[in-house]
Amino acid sequence: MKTKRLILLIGGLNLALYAYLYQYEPIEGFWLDVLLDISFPLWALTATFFLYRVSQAYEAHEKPRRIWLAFAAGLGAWTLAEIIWMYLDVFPYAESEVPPLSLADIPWLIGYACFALAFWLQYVRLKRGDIKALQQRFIQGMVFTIAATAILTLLLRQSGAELPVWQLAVLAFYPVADLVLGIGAIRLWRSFGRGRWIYPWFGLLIFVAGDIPFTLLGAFEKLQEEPWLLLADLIYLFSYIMITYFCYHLYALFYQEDPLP
Amino acid sequence: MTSPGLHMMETLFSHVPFEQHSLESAKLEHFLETLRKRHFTGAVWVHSATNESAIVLFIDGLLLAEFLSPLGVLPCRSTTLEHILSQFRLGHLSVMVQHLPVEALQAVRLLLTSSLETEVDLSTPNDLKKAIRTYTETDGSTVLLLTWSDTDGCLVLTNGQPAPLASVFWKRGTPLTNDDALQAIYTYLTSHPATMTVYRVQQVSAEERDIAISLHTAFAALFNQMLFLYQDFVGSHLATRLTRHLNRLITSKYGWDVRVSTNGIEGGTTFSTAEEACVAYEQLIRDFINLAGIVIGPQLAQLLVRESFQLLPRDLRDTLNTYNLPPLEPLR
Repeated sequence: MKTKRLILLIGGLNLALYAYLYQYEPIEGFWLDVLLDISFPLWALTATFFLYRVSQAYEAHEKPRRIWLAFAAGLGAWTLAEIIWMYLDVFPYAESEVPPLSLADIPWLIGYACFALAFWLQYVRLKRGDIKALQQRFIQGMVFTIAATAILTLLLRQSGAELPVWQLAVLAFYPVADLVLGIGAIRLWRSFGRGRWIYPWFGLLIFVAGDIPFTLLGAFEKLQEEPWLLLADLIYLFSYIMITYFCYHLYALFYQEDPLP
Repeated sequence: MTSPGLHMMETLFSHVPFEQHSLESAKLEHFLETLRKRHFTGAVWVHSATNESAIVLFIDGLLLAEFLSPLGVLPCRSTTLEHILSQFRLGHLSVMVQHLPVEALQAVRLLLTSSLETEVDLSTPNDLKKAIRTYTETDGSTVLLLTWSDTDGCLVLTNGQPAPLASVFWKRGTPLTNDDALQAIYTYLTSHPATMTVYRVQQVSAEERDIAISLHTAFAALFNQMLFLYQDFVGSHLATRLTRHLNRLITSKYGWDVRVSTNGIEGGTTFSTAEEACVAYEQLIRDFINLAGIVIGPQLAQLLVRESFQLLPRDLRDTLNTYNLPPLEPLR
């Protein structure tokens, strides 16, 4: 069986197993939490590995290396965030809910910064000699992110969310940052068309699309209600599977002799 | 009488190890198909119980040539795979599979359309260096087949390129290629005199050659720029893979004496007319767009070609424009 299909098969089984464990709880306590939580860091780690290996296929002086290194660093930061969150869920908060903001959010935010850097490096390669226009675009993106985060924070505050403002701002930042990364990925998609180069960016697009409902439900404190939690978890896991799947496509281009078209 | 290509296979491949298989004739097609899917590069020798034999040559899974001999000696008649399969419909077959380097098959490909010019003895590396110099200063392409009692080697030369386009040397059954092969041949020649057989591929008239050279100069500049931009964009690893795929296509499908590396294009000055060269160059650009398009998308690949063209000096652009090169779709 081809590895690409194998990833999809394992991903499908993982989703089914997750839903089964969640719904029927055939085991309880520590091991249930471990089995439910472990899929996320594992998929994130696998995607990190693929992109890190791609970056290592380049000589140190080659410019595309930095793009994929920044991308891999973003995935690596998210892997760390998932591991921290899993630790919190399994140990200190085994009997209660992990708070909406925790130590895991630090690597989460670092991950966004890494992806922003990867986007910048990619666009610089794409728009050679037109850096000024690119800088303007990035400034516009940052202004939009700040403004939209502020508006969403205000909306959350007015809707009765009880968290402190700075925590609401961080929670509001996630869907806005997802939206900005998604727009950046769609624009790259338009440039690269069906080329394999777009695949990790396309995976990121799927990921951020899957992350938006998750963070919004969290911000409006709907995540504790069924069936929203299971649905959000499955979408989130699906997004990780997809980003891994698409990162593998680029990895395969470097490390496997694909046939001629 | 066998053709030079087959003569080369007779001698050059005689000491190459092979895998022997025995199979029902009905399974031959499936066997060849499996090799094709595995991107096999080499020769498949088929012998029937009734003493018929055939050779099928592959490069990276693509069919290079097929030969059939109904008389039971060395296969000597160029044919098609369908014909071979129709001839081997009954009984058991003995099938031998030889893995060969692309460079050896590139030489065979050229030898299939060449003619014997001369045969001389070489006793020192300087004799070979002199021969290489002579034939790289002569119009057209040349294949030098070097024969010793225990091994063989071959060099593919083309006008205007000081280094051989392809070199192969069989050292204790293991093929060395290109720079390694050339160095090993020189070393071996210091203590072992060889017989050199010279095959000439084609000749072109001086007037037509001048036109073809000016087109070639412009095209080489364009193609080098395309490769440079592509390498700058995706890195050397993927650029090298693209050139390797292009070389395989050139050798197996088109048979031109052109070789592409990340440094640019080599050879290709021996097309008999500018029109013939133009067809080849157009195809190369299209293949570049197809292959680069797999990585960066066809639209961006077209953009790279367009940008490369715009970066060329005016006179080179004019030359290419005369022949409607590069072939690009209108901007959307």
